[in-house]
Amino acid sequence: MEHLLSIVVFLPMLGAVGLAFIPRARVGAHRAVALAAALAGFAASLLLLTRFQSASPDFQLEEFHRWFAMGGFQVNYHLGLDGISLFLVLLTTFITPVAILGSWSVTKHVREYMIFMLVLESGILGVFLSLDLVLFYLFWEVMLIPMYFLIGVWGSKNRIYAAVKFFLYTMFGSLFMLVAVIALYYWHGQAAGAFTFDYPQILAAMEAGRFALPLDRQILLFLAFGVAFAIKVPLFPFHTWLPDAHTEAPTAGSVVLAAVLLKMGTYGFLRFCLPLFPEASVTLAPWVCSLALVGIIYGALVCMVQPDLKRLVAYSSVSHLGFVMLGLFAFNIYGVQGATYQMLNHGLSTGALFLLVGMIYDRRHTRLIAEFGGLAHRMPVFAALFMIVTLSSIGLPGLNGFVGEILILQGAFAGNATYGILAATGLILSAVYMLTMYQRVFLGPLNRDENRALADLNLREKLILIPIVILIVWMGMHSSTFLRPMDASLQKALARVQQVRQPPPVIHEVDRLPAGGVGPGTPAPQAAAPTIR
Amino acid sequence: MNELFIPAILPEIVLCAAGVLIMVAEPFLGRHGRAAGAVLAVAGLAGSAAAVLLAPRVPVDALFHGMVTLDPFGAYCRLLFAAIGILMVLGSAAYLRREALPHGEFYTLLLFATAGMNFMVTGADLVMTFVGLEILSIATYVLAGFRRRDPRSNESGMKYFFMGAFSSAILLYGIALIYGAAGSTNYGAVLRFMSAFTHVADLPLLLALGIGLVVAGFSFKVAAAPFHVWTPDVYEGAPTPVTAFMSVGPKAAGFAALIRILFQLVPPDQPVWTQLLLVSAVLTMLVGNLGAIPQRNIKRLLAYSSIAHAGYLLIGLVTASVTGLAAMLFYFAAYLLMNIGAFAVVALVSGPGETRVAIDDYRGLGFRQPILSFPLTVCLVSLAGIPATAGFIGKFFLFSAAMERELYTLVIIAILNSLVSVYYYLRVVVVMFMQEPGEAASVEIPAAAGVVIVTCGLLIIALGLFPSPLLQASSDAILSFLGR
Repeated sequence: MEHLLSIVVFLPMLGAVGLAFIPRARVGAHRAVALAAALAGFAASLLLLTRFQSASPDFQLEEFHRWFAMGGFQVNYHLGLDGISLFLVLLTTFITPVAILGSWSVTKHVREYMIFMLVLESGILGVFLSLDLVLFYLFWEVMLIPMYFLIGVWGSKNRIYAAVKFFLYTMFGSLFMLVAVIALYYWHGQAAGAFTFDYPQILAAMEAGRFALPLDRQILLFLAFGVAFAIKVPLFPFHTWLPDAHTEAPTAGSVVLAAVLLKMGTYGFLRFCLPLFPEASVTLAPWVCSLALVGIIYGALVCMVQPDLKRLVAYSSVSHLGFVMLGLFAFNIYGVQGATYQMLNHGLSTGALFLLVGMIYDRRHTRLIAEFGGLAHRMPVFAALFMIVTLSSIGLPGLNGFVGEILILQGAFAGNATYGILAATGLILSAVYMLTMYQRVFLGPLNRDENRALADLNLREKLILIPIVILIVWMGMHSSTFLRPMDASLQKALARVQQVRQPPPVIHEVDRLPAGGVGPGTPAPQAAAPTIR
Repeated sequence: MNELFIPAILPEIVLCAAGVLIMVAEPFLGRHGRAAGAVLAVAGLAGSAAAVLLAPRVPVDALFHGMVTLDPFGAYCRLLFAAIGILMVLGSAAYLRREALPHGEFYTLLLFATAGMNFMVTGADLVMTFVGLEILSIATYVLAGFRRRDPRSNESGMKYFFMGAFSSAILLYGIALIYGAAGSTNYGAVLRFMSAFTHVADLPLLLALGIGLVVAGFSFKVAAAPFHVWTPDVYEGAPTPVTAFMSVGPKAAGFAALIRILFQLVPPDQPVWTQLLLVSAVLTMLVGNLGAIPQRNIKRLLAYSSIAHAGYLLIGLVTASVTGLAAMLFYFAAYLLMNIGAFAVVALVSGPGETRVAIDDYRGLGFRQPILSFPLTVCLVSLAGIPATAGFIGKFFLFSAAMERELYTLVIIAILNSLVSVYYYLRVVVVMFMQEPGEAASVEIPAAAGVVIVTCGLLIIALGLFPSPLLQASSDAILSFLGR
């Protein structure tokens, strides 16, 4: 199994190719094959867990082949897994079969729909596992096309506008990233004498001091990479594609968008911007953090006045991803651990929320909160599951959201108390809008005739949601399962940025904390809790 | 080696012989003429490719008394031209039948045009290059006006003829000035003459002016701004397969001839015209991409897209580096697949009399006829330069070459242009797949055309994923004369 990573990446693609040969009319077969391919991908990715050495901060299960070359140009096929990508890969392979199972309501062009879903999965997995910058760019862009089709063909009324907007926004950012990749190639080559697009090699040259970028070039590269990632995240002024794309996409599209696609942005910051451009990261951190805070509060405020369920969930993503960014740019282990954890949490809870909204939309063909009320009377199981997910999303202790948020807040307070206070406000707001929404949809009298006939969840729908709920509880109760394997890689990702930082006295103490407080393998939340109190 | 070394011009001999044979044989074949003509044309083109492959690989300049060069660069281009020709013949047979156009003449003209392009890239003397250009141009003028009863086609042929005659005159004037200054039209001789000057500023004004006029003359052919204005009208009016040919053949041949002139006639260390080419590149990209946005007619859209691509290709000339020029050669191949594929679909969808050429006519094509819509999507996505396609690899190396020369502003302008282009290419995809399907009937897909379309789509992806062999060939071709 030396090609395990390639298998994980391309298994869904293989399923897509297979689907193309099944006659158009056999819709049942399309669904079954797609689900089987996605589940096989999930199974393969579980093998990663057994082979992954959590103590090592390095890339594991690496695969390296020459891909194409011209003259001195050498682009490689280089995959590798570390603690940061491990769970993002698992999240992707977990969410995709769930999303496919949640797509039974799609009846138009089922075969093509499933093909695009599987190609999308392969693209996303490639992004998380690529270690060659050109390969990374390739997957980053390739994944755009299936998503574009999913929104544009199977979306709701304004789908074309949303699809084109999504594509152009993302393309705008990624073209700058492409230029930055090429610039990094030449600057590294001229300084270190070896021209390569290989990320570990460039990073090693930086660590060894063979390649030092002056601050102005770092800032340029940070901005060029950053604009691609910030659009994806989305960081505040770049977010306007998101509500449209999320709202117009079909349910499964929204699920994958929210659960995994947005994480590509935060992953990019953590994987590339922080380690490669530490000085620029530190210099620009106040800006990034401010934008993240604006996003947290702005997203929450929009949610409070949002009449459309799906749009509400979409805007809540802006707010939640602001948290993740704040955690990353706190530059301490709590913040970064929290951010990575929150990426997974947001994937599960927002993914689940979109699925839930999709289920009610399939029944009522409306998403307006005002159209509902008292649904708990007719749909108790649905209401209960919705409650759990809502609580997870607002960070109730005992569920997954709490762990991530508390770590991020701790990291933020350690860096800058103002950030911490403002971010905490966002948390309160999120409880306000989520619970208000829950109350208006599920509680109170069942006073609309259309809602009296609603059926509760069927077996398939329960099957979709229960695994998510299990994970939500598991991640809330036993966070060390997930935090421990990340730890070494996160420490490594932070090392350079922490080195750069001239720590003022107050922060100095906090920076020291991880060494004593959170050693490799020590789960953070338990260690962290006393400090907060 | 013998001065009159026949293998050096054997491919052109084969092409011309096949062309003449088709013309002579057609009246005797009657009913079977059509198929026989196509078979003969493909055989001629394949024969020319075989002759290129069988010729010695050692570079030799100045055969036939300094008229023809034999080198990997010429071989690479001639193979591309043969590929263009074969795809053209296969793709247009059904179109000719549908439009009741004469087959034999079409194939003959195509073969002659190909021979002309071959001479443009193998010529070692400005006169030879010029003769090649004229052989190509005259054949193309006739092809553009091939639908005699259609006023649009007439307009197209007429416009192309006047513009072409004008540009030929400019080119010829440039050649005359170069001859006046350097005393020769032979590349090697002019090169030796120019190498004597250590500073570019010392060059005789006549010579500099002459080279400028030659560049301008070719700029007409490749549709580079500000010499591009004829393109949309000519492309729109010409029969669609001819438009496909004009957008790839003469463009590639024009650029290849420019590469030869700017790097084999002008000493490589005297980049006299770089600044001018840079301005032209920026202008061409802007004019092409901005012009394409409001287009409602797919042929006009692709015409502006072809202007934009001339702009991207000019970046390669501006960089004057092995990477940049090799990227251009790679891009020729990518571009021929994308454009021939796209135009082949356009030719089928346009229907009898080419009445359905509005973008709106593609409504609902997406899921109704995936054999057409998916390859067309691949072509458009590749034109937009999105990865996993040949178009991306080409742009990647063009942009890389510009970064290598630290032309950062140019790269930023180029990527912003790419972004604009994504918008209008996607609009076609939106219409095909996402808008409510219209009531239009299915398009009949003839076997040969279907093969061409699917082959183009698959090759674009194959070259996007495994570009190494072609990249190697193109950089070898450039090194064969830049390295010397």
